[in-house]
Amino acid sequence: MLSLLSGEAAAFGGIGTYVGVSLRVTGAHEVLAKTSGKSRQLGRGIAQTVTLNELTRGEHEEDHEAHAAPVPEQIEHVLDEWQEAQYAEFRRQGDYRGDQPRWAMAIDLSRCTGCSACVTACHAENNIPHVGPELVRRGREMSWLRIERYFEGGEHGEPFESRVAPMMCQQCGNAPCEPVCPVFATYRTPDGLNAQVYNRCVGTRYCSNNCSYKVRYFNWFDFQEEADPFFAFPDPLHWLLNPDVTVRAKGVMEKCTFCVQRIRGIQHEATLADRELQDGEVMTACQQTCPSDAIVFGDLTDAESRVSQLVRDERGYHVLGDLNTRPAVTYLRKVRNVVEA
Amino acid sequence: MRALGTAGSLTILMALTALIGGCREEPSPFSTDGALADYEPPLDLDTAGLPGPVQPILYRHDIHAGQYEMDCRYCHFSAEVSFNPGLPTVSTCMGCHIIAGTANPEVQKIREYWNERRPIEWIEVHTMAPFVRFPHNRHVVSDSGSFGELSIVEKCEQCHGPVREMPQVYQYASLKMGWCITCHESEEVSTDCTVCHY
Amino acid sequence: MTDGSNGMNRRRFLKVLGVTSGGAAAMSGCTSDRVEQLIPYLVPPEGQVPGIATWYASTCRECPAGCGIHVRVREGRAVKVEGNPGSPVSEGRLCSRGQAALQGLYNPDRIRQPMARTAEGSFAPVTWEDAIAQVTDRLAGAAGDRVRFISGLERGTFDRLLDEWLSALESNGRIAFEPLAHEAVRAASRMVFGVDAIPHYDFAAGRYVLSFGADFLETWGSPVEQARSFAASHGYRDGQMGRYVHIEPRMSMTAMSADEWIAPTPGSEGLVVLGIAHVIVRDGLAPAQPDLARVRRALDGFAPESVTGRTGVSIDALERLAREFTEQASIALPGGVGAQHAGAHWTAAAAALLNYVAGNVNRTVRYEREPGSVPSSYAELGQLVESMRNVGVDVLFVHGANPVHATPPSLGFAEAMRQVGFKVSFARFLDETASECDLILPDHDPLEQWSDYQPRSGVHALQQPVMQPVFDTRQTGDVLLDVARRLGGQSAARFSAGTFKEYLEAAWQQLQREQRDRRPFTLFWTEALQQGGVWSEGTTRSVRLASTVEQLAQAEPWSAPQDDALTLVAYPSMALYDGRGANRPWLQELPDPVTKITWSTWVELHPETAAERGIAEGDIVEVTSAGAHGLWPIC
Repeated sequence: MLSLLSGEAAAFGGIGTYVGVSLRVTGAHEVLAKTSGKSRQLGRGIAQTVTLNELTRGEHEEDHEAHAAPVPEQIEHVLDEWQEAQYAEFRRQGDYRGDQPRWAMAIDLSRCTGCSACVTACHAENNIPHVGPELVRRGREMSWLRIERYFEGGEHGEPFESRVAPMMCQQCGNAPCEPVCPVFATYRTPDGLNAQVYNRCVGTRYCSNNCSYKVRYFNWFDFQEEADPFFAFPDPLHWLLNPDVTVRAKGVMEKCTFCVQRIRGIQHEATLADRELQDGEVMTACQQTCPSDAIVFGDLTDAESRVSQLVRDERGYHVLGDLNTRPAVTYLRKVRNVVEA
Repeated sequence: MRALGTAGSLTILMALTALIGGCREEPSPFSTDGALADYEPPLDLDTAGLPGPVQPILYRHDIHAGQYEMDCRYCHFSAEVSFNPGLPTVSTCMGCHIIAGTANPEVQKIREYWNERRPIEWIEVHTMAPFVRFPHNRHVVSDSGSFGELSIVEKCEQCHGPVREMPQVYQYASLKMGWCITCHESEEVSTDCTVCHY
Repeated sequence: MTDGSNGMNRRRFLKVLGVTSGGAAAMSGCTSDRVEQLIPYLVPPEGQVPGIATWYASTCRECPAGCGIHVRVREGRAVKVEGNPGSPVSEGRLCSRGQAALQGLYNPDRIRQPMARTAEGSFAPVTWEDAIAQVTDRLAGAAGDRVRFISGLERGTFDRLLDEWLSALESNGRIAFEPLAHEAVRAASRMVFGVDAIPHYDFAAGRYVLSFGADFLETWGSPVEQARSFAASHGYRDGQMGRYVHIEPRMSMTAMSADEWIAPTPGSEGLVVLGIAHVIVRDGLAPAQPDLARVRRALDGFAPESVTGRTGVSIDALERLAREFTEQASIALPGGVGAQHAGAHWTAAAAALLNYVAGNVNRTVRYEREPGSVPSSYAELGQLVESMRNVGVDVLFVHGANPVHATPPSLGFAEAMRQVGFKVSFARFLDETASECDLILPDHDPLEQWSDYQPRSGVHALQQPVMQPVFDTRQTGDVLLDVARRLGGQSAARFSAGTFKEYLEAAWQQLQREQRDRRPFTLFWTEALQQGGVWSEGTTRSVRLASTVEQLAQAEPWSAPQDDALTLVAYPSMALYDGRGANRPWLQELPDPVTKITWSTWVELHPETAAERGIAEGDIVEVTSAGAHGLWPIC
């Protein structure tokens, strides 16, 4: 683009970055390597907002028509009981007897700016390969964490609005991916994670098909093998691989793990030192790097933990919560400080 | 949680004495507990007939750990503090072999490595599948189940076998998942997948 | 690092170091009949235990913000970069570019040893000894301003070394070239307050942010620090939050966070600012500041009635913004590079004046004493091109800058360079500028070197090597000192330090004295290394209106050429910055926050304009400006 600008310095001594141009349509076409699907939410209520005035008046619900199918109240407590029974069953196994943490995350959309630092941090922490433009065009990107971006309004003179929401595995308490796995490669851990066991996975991809959030990623290639056409770690780039995380091979499904290697690492440390975990001690990579502190991770069984407090916030909601997936990720509505007409 | 280092510590010291990392009590190379009183290391060996891979140097675990009763942690110095048990650096070998056993042809090989500033390329005997996280430290200091009554060396031998009697080390346990699980079940410790796989 | 890794296949080496904790090796099946090797260190690296991470504090140098970082090192390899919680700039946080610093360090395209141009015109490896001898030979025959040095924006001891080194050669020919130097903001500070500075904006204190095209969450200023303080004031808590209005024709990622986005006629932002300032003064919305007469003379001609037509912003909106702006502590932000049209200094000066009339100066906007040398402007680079073209330069050094790429081709930088007798690059990659040079002396990666950086007044951040160098590179500071020593005479006499680390330590001894710290230096130094630097309050300078502020009365909007011409706004990428991040795969694959495009450059077009011209997404268009054209797909 710089070639279009004038080489002459502007009056203030810098480059002028505005220039008058003409356009000519060449007739050629290129499929952009784009990761977004629809730019509009189509009533799904993925990235929700509330205005400051509505919030101070006590109106928290944003209506989103298409999926407005709330779970009937009398069934809600049956489901709660069922879920608790599941955890109780897990806790009877091995040294999971007794109290277990329940890992959860809260994402405050009124702090998230969409800067995507979390996305890169996730790549760095979890040995996620880059796949190149060709595979991105085919929808085969591997990014465990993505920033969903939606536009609202802007038509018929309405004010134009943009929304962002980080989207990763929601670690559902009632996960659609789990019952469809024929080899139990994905299952629920007693501490509330939706685990993916790479060495068990046979690559049926049923889990990905059944995932409501499209957050499971399949290794179509051996990104770590030099002979592979999509080899992603030419020497010495592989030096940056995190030794605490398995590099996945072709034919294996993968997804956000809530940085389980960090959880287990700190649990090991705490056990060896014979002490309890502190709130905030386990930080996921996305949380740690987030410049605006929008992501909070912690234990839901500790009512005083930061994440527990945020989950109880009046702005909290679950994405596609009416599917009864019981996500461990709670989003806090973005608040818009708008002037009302 | 974070031990902040300074880059000064990147300077590699050409020390001839065996340096042991970490801030913990240094084990004596010659321990007295757990001695194998009746084991005599054979002096004449048919190395071709020994089980286990042939290493660049015939390092005699039976002599060092068996006859001289050296603590495993003298060489595998980080087994108690890290997932990784640690491998002795060539300087550790030279700590003794600058004077000890200099006539032995295998010891002379070490001295060659040392003089040429080459590290020794050992063949790995106990190879874990790369999708497994095995924390040596948790196992070595574990006091759960029957592990609590074992000495450190005995704990090591649960998986590595009678190393104190091995002239050449061979793989003792299968290291397959069923073998891990059997022990985890009998010791009543966690068998959740994400304990080892992530 | 094993010190015996020479000649060993790195891939195997990695597997070895990952042994038992096994991680970085590929998951290649359950068989146990593979042969893996275990290669121990020759001597134990001090303070490192296999399987346990060591953390080193250092400073990120991926952009001029200078965030404090902690680098996680396992088995001698840097494997993760995090923010340093102690750093006043990053406070433990980091952006994508900082996270991707590792892909600079381990980039396969790094220049692996010194290279010299051969008779056939290609590059061939040479030894450091030969390379440095070539430099000293060439310098023996050149002196004064015929020796020129282009560096990046350096704010610290290396900056001083460069100046001293050049002055020993009796050269005054240093250019500190930062493509995103925000010359318009500096020009505005000079015009309004008579100081050459980019002010510091306190986003945590400014509850109302009015941005005139500043992409302050992307490339403008110190994005991590700004995002953190912006979230602190704008994030909702207990019924309260700030308000943010963005005024710019383009929807940037930063603008996506705005509560209100106003798109004025391109180039007219300055008039919007002046209109708002006019209303504040006219209606007495804020306590009167000194020199009100001057302010009035500057603002007289910008009543909302006269501004509205040229900007497309209604009188009501201007008056409402003026009221909102003065209701609480606020900040007006001048535009970033993406709003830097030929009249950008007017916008920036108007924003500075708006802050002044609203009483924000020294409340949310501070003018600090900037450390180090002021970055050179693009115009100064133009003067260097002129003198190169006229064969006025014998030896040119380029470090930390890629002017051939970062300037429009019509400036003719590459052609001018060819008139220079001997060109030396210290580049880490064979970039466009290095390709034009005769000798390349590759510098260490920032994560491999000793240095320091002062992002702003009071913040002295240290850089230390977190691992052994990956390739046969040398720190430029060491090379320069070596060259000075070999030149002998005045150059050699000037420097007592043998290495740049010694030079740096001497500078920090001086700093310790300035801080009235009486402990032994080693204590001060070790503590600084562990913390990542030393921090103190910055020194604010008091400013008052300069008489030149009245020039604002002549402020003119930038106007696009007529006909059916469109206005092209070239803006820096959040991930790739001015292009310096383009060789990091993570940043290439990071979807642009607004368009969600990866791995390419595109042209954005308003949907209505696109519909009028029958252009759809993915259509490739030819964009033509005066004298240049190029092809890009439409987004």
